[in-house]
This record gives sequence, C-alpha cells and structure tokens, in this order.
Amino acid sequence: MAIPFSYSSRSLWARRTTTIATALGIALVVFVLAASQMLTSGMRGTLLRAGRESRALVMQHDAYSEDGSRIRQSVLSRVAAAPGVRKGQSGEPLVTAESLVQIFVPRVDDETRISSVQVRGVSENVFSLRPEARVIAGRAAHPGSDEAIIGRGIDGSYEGLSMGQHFMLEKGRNIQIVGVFEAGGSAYESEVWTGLDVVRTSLGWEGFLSSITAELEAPSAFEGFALALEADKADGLAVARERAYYEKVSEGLASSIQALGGLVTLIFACGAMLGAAITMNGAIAQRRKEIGVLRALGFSARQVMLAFLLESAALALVGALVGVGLASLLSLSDFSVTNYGTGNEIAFPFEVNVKSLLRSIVAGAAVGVLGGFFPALKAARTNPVAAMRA
Amino acid sequence: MSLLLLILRNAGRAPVRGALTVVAVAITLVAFVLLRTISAGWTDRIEQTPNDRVVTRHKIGWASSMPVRYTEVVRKMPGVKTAMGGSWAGLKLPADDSVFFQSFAVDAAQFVEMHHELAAPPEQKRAFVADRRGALVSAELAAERGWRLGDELHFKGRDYPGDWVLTVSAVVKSTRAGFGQRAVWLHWEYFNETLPERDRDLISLISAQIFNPADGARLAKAIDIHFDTQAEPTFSQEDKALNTAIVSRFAAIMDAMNVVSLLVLGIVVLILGNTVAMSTRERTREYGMLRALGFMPRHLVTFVLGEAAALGVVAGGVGLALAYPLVQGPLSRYLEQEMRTAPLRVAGGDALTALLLGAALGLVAAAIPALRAARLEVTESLAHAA
Repeated sequence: MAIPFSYSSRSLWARRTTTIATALGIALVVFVLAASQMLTSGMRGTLLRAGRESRALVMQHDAYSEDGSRIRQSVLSRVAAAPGVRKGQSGEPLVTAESLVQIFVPRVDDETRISSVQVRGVSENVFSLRPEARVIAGRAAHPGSDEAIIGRGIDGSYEGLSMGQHFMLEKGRNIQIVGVFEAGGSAYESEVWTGLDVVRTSLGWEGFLSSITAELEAPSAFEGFALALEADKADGLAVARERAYYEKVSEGLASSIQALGGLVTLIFACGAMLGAAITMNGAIAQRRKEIGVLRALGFSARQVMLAFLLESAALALVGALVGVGLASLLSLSDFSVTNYGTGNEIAFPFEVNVKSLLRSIVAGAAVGVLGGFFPALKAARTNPVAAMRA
Repeated sequence: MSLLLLILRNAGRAPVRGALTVVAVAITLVAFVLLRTISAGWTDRIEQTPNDRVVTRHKIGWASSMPVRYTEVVRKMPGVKTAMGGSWAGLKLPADDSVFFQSFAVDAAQFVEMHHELAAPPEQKRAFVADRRGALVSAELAAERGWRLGDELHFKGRDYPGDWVLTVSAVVKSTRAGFGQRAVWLHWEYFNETLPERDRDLISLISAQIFNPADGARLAKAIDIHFDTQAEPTFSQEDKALNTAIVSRFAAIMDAMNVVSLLVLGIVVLILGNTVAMSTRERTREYGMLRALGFMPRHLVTFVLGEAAALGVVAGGVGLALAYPLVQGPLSRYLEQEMRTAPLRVAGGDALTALLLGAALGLVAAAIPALRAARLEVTESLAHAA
C-alpha cells in the first residue's frame, strides 16, 4: 500500500508559513512565464489575424514591409487576370489596391511620445476583400472624399485620431474621421483607413501603389498565382501568402519578448527550485523520526520518496495555479508597442491561451519536483532505527 | 564583537540550507542585474546623444520629403553653427538583398564636421569628404562583409531605382549607443544625380549643430514656424528629445521589465524569509535559554536580523560574482542574437544596488521572525518541542 496523499497534504498544512512562502515564490515564476507567453501570443495573434491563408499579397520584391513597397498602378490589371484569383458575385476579380504611409502623431497620454501610425489608402472594394472588417460606430468614408475611418484598437489614443477629429497627409488638407471599424482583433485595428487616392494625391504618389491583395479560389491556388506574377522580372514583384507576410513582420518583436521572458523565467525558476529544495530539506530534517516510523511500519524507501515528491509537487502546483490566476488577470489590460517589423505602433491584448497556461503550470510543477528530488532521496535513504532514536 | 561572532556562527549552523539560500538569492539577483542592464542600454542611447543638435523632418511622417534648399535656410538661422541635410538612401547589395544595413546620403563635409561620435583617423575622414563617390562604413559592417579601405562597392536601390558605385574612404567606429553600428554613408550630391526626376532634390532630414544647447527647444520651434508658411511644413526636435521619443515607443516593454524587477525582489524576500523563519522555529528553545541567561529581547532581534543580513550580503556578493560573467557573456550574446541588441555592460551602480539589496531584503525578510522571537515568553519557549 502506498502512503496516503493526505499524509503529504496535511504535512504541508502543518507548516503553512513555509509552504505559503515557497508556493508564492513558484507563483511568481509561473506568473512571469505565463505573462510573457500571453504577451507573445497576443502580439503574434494580433498580427497573424490580419493575414489569411486564402489571401495573397503582391509587393515590390525587395521591400521589407508594405509601407516601404512601391509598385506601378499598371500591375493591378495583371494581378486581376492572374490564375487562381477568385471572382466576386458579379464576376469581377477579387483584388484590391492599397497605398500605405506612416504618420507622426503624439500620444494622448504622453505628448512627448511621437508614434508612427499606419494609414492605409484603400480601394472601394476593401470590405469584400477583408470581410472581417466592419464599421461599428459612425459610418464608412464616402468614396472620393477626404474622409477616413479608424481602427478601434487606437481610437482615441493619439492626438487628432479619433471619431470626429481630423489629421493631415498634406498641408492644408484635413482628413475627417467619420467612423470606427473593427477587424476581428487584428493589426488592422491599429490602422487608419482612408481612400487610396487621398493618400496618393497627398503624397504625390500618383501612378503607384504599395501593395495589391488578392483573394484566391483556394489556398492551394497560391503557387500558380505567384508563379505567374513573379515570372516577369521586369515588374519586380514578390508574392507572399498574407499570413506568411504577417508571420515575418511579427517575428522580430515576438522573438524578443520570448527571448527576454524565457531568460528571466529560467533564472527565476532556478531560484524557486532552490527555494523548494530548502523547504523540503527543512521538512525532512524536522520529520526524521516520523520517516523512521513510516519505514518501520513497512513502507518501502520508494514509497517514502514518492510521498515527499508528491508533497513538493502539490506545493508547486498550488503556487503554479496562483501564478496562472494572477497572469490571467492581465488579460484585462492592453499593451501598445512599436512593432519593429513594420515600424508602426500596434495595440494588442495579453491573450489567454489554454496551451500556454497549461505549459506554465507544468513548468511550475516541474520546478517543485526537481527542487524536492534530492531532499526526497535523502528521506528515502533514512535508516529507520537511527531515525527513531534521534 | 562577540554578538557578531555569534551571528556568523549561527548562520553557519545549517550549512546546506545556508548554501542553498545563498545560491538561490544570488541567482535571482542575476535576473535583477540583467533587467537593470538592459534598461540601462536604452537609457545610454538617450544620454549619449549630443545635446547640441536639432533634427528637422517633414511634419507628416518619414515618408514625406523636404526641398533640399531647406538646409541652407536652417544653416543661416541665428544660433545655428552648421547644418547638414540627408536622405535615407535605401541601398542594398546586388548579390543578397536580405543583408540588413542602413544607408544615408549626406552633405559630406558638414556631416563629418558634426559627427565626432564616429571615430576614424582624420585623413580617412578627409578622404571621404574629398571623394564624391566615397563611402563611410561602420566598422561592424565592414568586418562582417570583409570590406577594406579602398575597396570598390556596388549597390542597388531598394527604395529608388539606380546603381551606385562607392569607394570605401573611411571605416568608422561609433562611440554612441544606438547610432551608426550598421551603416553606410555616401555623398548626397552623387546619390541625388542618379535618381529619377520626381525623386530628385529632396531630403528627409536636416540635422543642425547649435552654439548653445540650452537654445535647442527654442530653435526647433523657430525652424518650424519659419517653414510653416511653406508647402512642406516641418517638425523639429532636439536630437535628444527625438531619441527619447524613439526609446519611449518601447516604453510598455520597459514598464514590464520594471515590474518584473520588483517581482525579483519579492522572490528574494520569500526565499530569505523562509530560511530565517525555519531557523527561528528550530531555535525557539534556545531563545528561551538565552532569555533565561539574561539576554534581552533586543539581543534576539539583533541575532535574527543580523543572521538574515549576513546571508543577504553573502548572497549579494555571490550574485555579483555570477552576474558579471553571465550577463556580459552568454546572456548578452543570446540577446544580441535574438533581439539585435548592443552588447550588455553591467554598470557599477547596478552591481552595487544588487549587493545592498541583498542585505536590505534580508532585513525585510527577517522582520517578522525577529519580532516573534523577541516576544516569546521565556517559559513557553523553553517548553517548546523542536
């Protein structure tokens, strides 16, 4: 028969001050681990949701990002005629041309913080290409007018950029913000959308586009589509799956957060593991007699070891649950930072993701088990006779 | 004196626990030093920006340009010593367009005169100014690509169509954090003449050197007011303010790191507190004995606090000994690779903070156990079963 679990759990309760201190230490480790994972997945999720498998992005072949890309207007008809492009209800090819520019705007909460916000000049058919976007307040911008709509992620965060206010792309030409849109929690929600020609005439970019987005018949139609457009080197085009593009531009910031969060967690985990070792070591020293009795009663060394490992695992698990609980509270807050893949500022949430929470809990429990291993081994090796005499 | 001896003897009584505590706290303090060092890297970037420069760009955004004649106007403004105009050249290597580096087309003479933070032998700098197809290249980039003085380099345009052939006139080492570590500078005149008509005679940035640093904000305003009536209005800032704004774009990440630094302290208190609480519990009888012998409660407080502080100081010292090689060695290399950060250098102040924190947190952690020991009834504690 194994030593009942209640022996382990009651022992923890008997020494609750120490138990709580150790569990809290592990809770902090798990908190940092879970928080950095939530941040990474919120950030990546926001950018990746902007990309769909069924959409392809056509850009200048050597541009890092959409806003640094410049292609000729004449390319649009070639893209529309390329194989694999889906047709709309009235038979028109689903392609949309866009022109992007980033503007300087001070943040409302700190005027010295000048951020770059992305303004996307969109064609009239943008909503049929990006069905995830819809206006949730005010109205859509009238085509051909100097009007714009703003993503709900940044509405009100920057001076001049909120419903009813206006901004400029060119001196003396106010662009009025007439509506707020949502786009399924994607990075588009950190953009301002205005007319394609508003952007082009303001900046003197007539005849050029930044990118063309095409809706494909199926994700598998991508290869044929890309091949047809990239074959002619003179146009200098590169075609990417939209999702792969957003994967690329999120990589830098995501891997930074991950690297830093991982490193700090690793260091913390070592500290907490030793903390658990101290606690278990103390517990065993104090209960030497008890262990001797257990052995004398016929419990094997293996069972004693298991009981103590369970005790430290339970301790760590409590800590891990507290840590994950605290981290989950973070999902109530928002994070806003410049993505260095594209250079503009995006707002994103801490995203609770079951997989990363589970991973954090497992990591926390592992810290406890590893920390408790040597003390438990020591307990198992206790000589019953000597221990009872002590 | 004998009190101190007693404290130290006590600290050494449970060697395994003591050692584990010291190592645990030391490792956690490494995380503290790491986080402080990373934030310090950002602050360095602001602090090392010269305070006698004002930067002017187009009011709308980086994508808009200003007429090249603006530079001359700024240069002639009272209070301005000299000024240079420049553009992002957007060069790339024809062989491999994925190699990342920055490229700037600048007014060569003024650029070299102003940017003393780029270190190179004076004759190399003179050679750059004299050769209109000359190039200044960062030492880091030159080393990576195997470029040497006198080499002829071929570039293509990423942002503008065109080919440019440059001769390496100088290899410069930047002494300023976050500036010019991976860059190529070329003459603006040469860059400009190759551009298509519509992109010609435009600049994206003007940098002015001013006589009196205290005048920066006023001059920035004066420049903007001057150009406000023109078709292309400007937005000027002191260079330091501009760099502060750039760093503050990552403010959210810095805030997160500061929160985590606080958590580090929390973990240290928990580990130390746990150890001290265990020791005092085990010694309850002993404390009763000491009180019976005539020691006062304050003596017990001194014992407990002193032991915790001793552990904390030793842990702080070990933490420092670990932090220097770890943070500046493997951890720095890892982050350089993952985050493209500059190499980390641990500042003396942060190191000292870690040491003092060790001791201070030891005292904090021991406060409750110390009070508890002091309040014990003599008879009760003598009856206490260990």
